[in-house]
Amino acid sequence: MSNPDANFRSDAFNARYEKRRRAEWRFRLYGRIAIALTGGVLFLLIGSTLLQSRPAFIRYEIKVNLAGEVRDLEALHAAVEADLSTHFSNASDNAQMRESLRSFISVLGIADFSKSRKDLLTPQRAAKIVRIPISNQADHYLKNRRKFGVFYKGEAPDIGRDVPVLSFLSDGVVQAGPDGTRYLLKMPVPDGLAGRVLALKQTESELTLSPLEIVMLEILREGGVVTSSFNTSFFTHADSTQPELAGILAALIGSLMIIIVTMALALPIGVAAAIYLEEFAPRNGVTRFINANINNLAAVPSIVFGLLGAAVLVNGIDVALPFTDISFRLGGGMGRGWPLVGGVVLALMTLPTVIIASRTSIAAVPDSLRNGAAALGATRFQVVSHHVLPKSLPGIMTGSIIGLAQALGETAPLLLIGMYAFIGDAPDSVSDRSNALPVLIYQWSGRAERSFESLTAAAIVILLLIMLVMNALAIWIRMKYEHKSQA
Amino acid sequence: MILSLPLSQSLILVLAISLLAYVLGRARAIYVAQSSGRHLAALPGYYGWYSALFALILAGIVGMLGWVLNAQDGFVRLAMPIAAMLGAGVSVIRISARFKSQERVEALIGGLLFACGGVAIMTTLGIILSLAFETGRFFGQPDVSVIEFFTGLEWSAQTSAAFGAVPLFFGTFFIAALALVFAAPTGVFTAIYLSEYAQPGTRRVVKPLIEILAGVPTVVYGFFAVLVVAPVVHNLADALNAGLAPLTGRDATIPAQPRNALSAGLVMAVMIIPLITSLSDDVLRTVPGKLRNGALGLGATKSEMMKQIVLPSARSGLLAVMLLAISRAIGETMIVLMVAGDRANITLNPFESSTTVTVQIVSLLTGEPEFENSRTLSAFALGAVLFGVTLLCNIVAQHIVDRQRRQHVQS
Repeated sequence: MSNPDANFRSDAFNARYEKRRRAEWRFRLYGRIAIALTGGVLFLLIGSTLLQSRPAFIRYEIKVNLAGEVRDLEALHAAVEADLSTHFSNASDNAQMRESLRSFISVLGIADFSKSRKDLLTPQRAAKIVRIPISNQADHYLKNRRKFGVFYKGEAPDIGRDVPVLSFLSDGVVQAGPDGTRYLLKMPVPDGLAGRVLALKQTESELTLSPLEIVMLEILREGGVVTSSFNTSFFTHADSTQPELAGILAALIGSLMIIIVTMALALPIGVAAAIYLEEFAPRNGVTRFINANINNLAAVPSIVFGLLGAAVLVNGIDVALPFTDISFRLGGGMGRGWPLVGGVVLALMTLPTVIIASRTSIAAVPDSLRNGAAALGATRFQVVSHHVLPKSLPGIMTGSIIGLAQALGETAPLLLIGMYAFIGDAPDSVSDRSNALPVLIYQWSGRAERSFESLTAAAIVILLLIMLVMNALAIWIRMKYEHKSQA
Repeated sequence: MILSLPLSQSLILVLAISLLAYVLGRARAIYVAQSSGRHLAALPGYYGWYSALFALILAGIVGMLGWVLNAQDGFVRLAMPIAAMLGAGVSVIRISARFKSQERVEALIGGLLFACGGVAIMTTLGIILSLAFETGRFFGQPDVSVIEFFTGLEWSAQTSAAFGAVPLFFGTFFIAALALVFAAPTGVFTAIYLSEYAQPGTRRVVKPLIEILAGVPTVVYGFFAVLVVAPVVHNLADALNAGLAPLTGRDATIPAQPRNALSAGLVMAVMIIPLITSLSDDVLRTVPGKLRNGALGLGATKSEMMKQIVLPSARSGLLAVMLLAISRAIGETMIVLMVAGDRANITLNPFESSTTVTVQIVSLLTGEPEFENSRTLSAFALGAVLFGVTLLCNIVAQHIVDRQRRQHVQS
């Protein structure tokens, strides 16, 4: 008799066993890699967006002391210039420096700023400290100082590129030009900068600011005139072509109107449809057809709903009766880019989600409840309205809120119904041209100025935050309900 | 119009009239009962509900009819409150002690519920009719032919010069296929790992994370694609070209553009991973436990059980999942709109820009579109094809899933 163990100790067995073990390990590894990839992308997505958005929440301003009467734009310009000039002893007679100062406050001349400009004007002779948003280029420099240049104590190391090097002495700044020339810009240098050397990382042609402007910005910053603060205008302004003035308020209001219309339509219709299908519908072909329909509708691409909105709600369908001269237009008449149209389109899109969630929730109500109520003499409608609906409401709300959050981020259908144009103010009503937050994100992401990159990321952060809050609300409702039903 | 009402005020007026109808109906029911000395046929509230619903439904019908038949806006806004008033008046007058208001109210609500169930059908019908109608008008244009649309290799609809949609169909399926190549293994393996290997703790962490990925708006994915993925892909192409230059002697062996199909495919893959994961999870769950137990009982390892028993038996279900994922990918708009470019060309080079049906629909319908010209109408023809293909994918997938479920129930 051979050893029964021999088969399980042979080399062939060991090799097979080892192979199978490795195959198992590899299989498990593939799963781990898949999850790591997915998680990594999510991390990268959220992380890069957050990182990108940071500069948009900060805003650099120039603090100006306005003395005397300032009645109009020209006077304001002059007053600001005069005040800023006090920080540079030789600025009043240096045209180049005056021009630089003007460029920092270029925002004063922008039409979108006219509302805020009124607050800056001082009719009486009292002195007043005002804060003016700094120009976009200066703002960009201040937010990315490290990318533009590095400060050194004493001598700057040889960088090896033809880039400007600026030495801050006590009596002014020495600028070394790319051709080796050195000239002194006479100006008082604050203590914090004296004795330092600023080596810029870009050549003069690559810089969006001149070396002189950079010097002046550094001096103003060290002197406490240029300060950073939270960018409130991002939340209080409508869209603007100027990144320093662009905000999300109008788009946020537009999105709010859209979502209210969506909710007002999708919620009652969806719940009613679910009640009908779950409680009253006979089990026949019509009901099966409706069911199949809802499932298919849930998978229709959102852009098709946009086409439906554009054709039926906005334009209307021209019908010509065959063999006659009669033709008429069905539907239409709603304006392009109305929140009402967007809301209706998104409601139709969200409807399947609401119906499916509501049906699941209604089906989960135990039959004993229905039978009990019916035995006590309730009609079928009373059973539903007094017992089934209240019991399933938390589940319905959870599903609906998640559906609405999805609708909030939907972009393509809104583009098709005419929400793509530049809209400079918030809509007055649901029948007014409007913008929406996701559409604004799309528009901003395509704009050329680099500052819009961070603004886009910031708008995304706000959109994701709103969706997060909605989802948290949904989860909270579900958890609260679950605890209750267990008790 | 002498009296013009804004829409919102008109609606508020209708609601106010309905409320009044409730109060009046209830009051009249009580009064009638007292004056005639009879018992009411239902609780007084039902009389109020009857009047209010009657007013609301009448106003709703007038509003819908007015909008569909394109009556003058001001007229409709005025007609709705008037209809509500009429409805309230008639219904309140009809109230008598013998009037069975509860039955009537329940019949009305039943009708309303049925109508709401019909909204889904109406939506589908609306989509099909409007797409079919505008597509019909598109093919009726003198400069368009059906054959050219489905077989033509040149697309320049912006100038109404050529309507050969093959490059668009190609681009759409190419990008969807790229997405699927990355997403299918990742999604399926994630589902397998989560259901077979992961500790409950890991599952509790990973599942919500994947759900977050599913909830991210596509415009956010688009921004991510433009800012993070596209530069990396473009640099990759540059590196490849630099490496290939000595071999081929050309600067750019692989033509590459900043906006390219690969970036769109990669990011779209991320978008559809959650869908594939959750659907594959469902499909794997439908495989009967006795098959699993049998495999494990015969000494198979978990991976052998998955590879040799569970996956083959779930093969058709997984096919359905892939069909649904493709259907989602070809209907996706924002990612491709932002990162795929808009050059209608047929190329298998993923570093070149490519365009899709959805991108063309958006670019044809933005700008002030006139519904009369073939340029705008072509968007609807594309939409009809998109709708048809996604619908087909879904119906086939649904059919496969149903068949598999029946098989497993029988076995």
